[in-house]
Amino acid sequence: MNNLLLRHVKLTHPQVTSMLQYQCRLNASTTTTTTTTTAGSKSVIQQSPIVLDNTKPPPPLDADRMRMHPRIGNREIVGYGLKGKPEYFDLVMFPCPSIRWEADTSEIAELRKKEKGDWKQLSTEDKKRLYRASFRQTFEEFTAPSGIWKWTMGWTLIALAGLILAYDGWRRVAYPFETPDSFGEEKLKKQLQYHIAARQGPMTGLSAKWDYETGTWKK
Amino acid sequence: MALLFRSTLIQLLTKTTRPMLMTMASTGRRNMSSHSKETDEEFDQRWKAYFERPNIDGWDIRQGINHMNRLDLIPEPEIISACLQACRRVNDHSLAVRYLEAIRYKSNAVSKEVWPWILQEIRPTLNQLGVSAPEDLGYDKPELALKSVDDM
Repeated sequence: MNNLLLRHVKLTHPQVTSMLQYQCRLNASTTTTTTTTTAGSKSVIQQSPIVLDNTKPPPPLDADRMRMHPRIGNREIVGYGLKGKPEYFDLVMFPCPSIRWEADTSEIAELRKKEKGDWKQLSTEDKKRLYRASFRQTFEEFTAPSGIWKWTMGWTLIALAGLILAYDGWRRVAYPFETPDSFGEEKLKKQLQYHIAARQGPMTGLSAKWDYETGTWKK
Repeated sequence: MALLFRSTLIQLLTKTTRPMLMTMASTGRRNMSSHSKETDEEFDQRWKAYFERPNIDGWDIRQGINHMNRLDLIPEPEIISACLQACRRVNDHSLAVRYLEAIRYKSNAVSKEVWPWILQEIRPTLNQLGVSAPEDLGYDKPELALKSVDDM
């Protein structure tokens, strides 16, 4: 049942709604974030963020949240976003999405209290944690080159080569070449005699290798 | 996209030299369309006033940032400072960093020299508020490698 992505299903039936809530809670309670805040070059795959905090009561359903409930879980709605829907997005054209990325757990609530004070007291780690709580990827991350052009080029060339080979194969199958009788041994020998008699290639070619005095090949 | 921002670079350069060259008369701007005859200063003033509202909330800041990001320009350092002050009033540091990242991305599309200039101009505000520039957080290079949304 976990593979059936219920979040892709439009919420029409109340039974589907409760299934969706169940799956949201399941996802939230069994996964943890594994973000690292070290500025090393290790690439870390982030598991699902904490979207739903089970210890908190469900958020009050206002008009915005009702359109998407419970898809966004406990996350705070902070802006208009793209079209008024409380969805998260990382876009270059619109830097500020409509909801925060992570729900406000107690850990983040602490940091937000600190944020109300002097920002110079926040350490770099705090600031990075706050950023990751509000946003999924930095600008550099979602605008980083994906390297898909290598795949495209590679598969294009492979496909082209495949098509050319297929075409050649088809030609071999569709147009069989029965050799004429001039390809036989006797006729080829006769042809060679005629070529030598006609002095074909007298300087550097065929007849240059034939000794006309003795009537044999040159040694 | 770089073609759209050519005029902003010239705009920036003319703005810095205005105190020195008094003869530079770039106040009026005539449009082909009758859409808006707003000058650059009026535009700046309007946006500064928008962000300087004392009781602005996060929603309006985000609206302003998103709207301004769509326009074919990089905001003046005064507007950027006003927006950062607004972020301070709503106690949202990550929003300020995101805004700076957006401006950095946009300005790098024009030229490599714009972003250092902007940073230099808003450095007093950054120091006063304690906002970190993206470089200070290490966000001028990618940190996490997450799957792109398009591949899911």
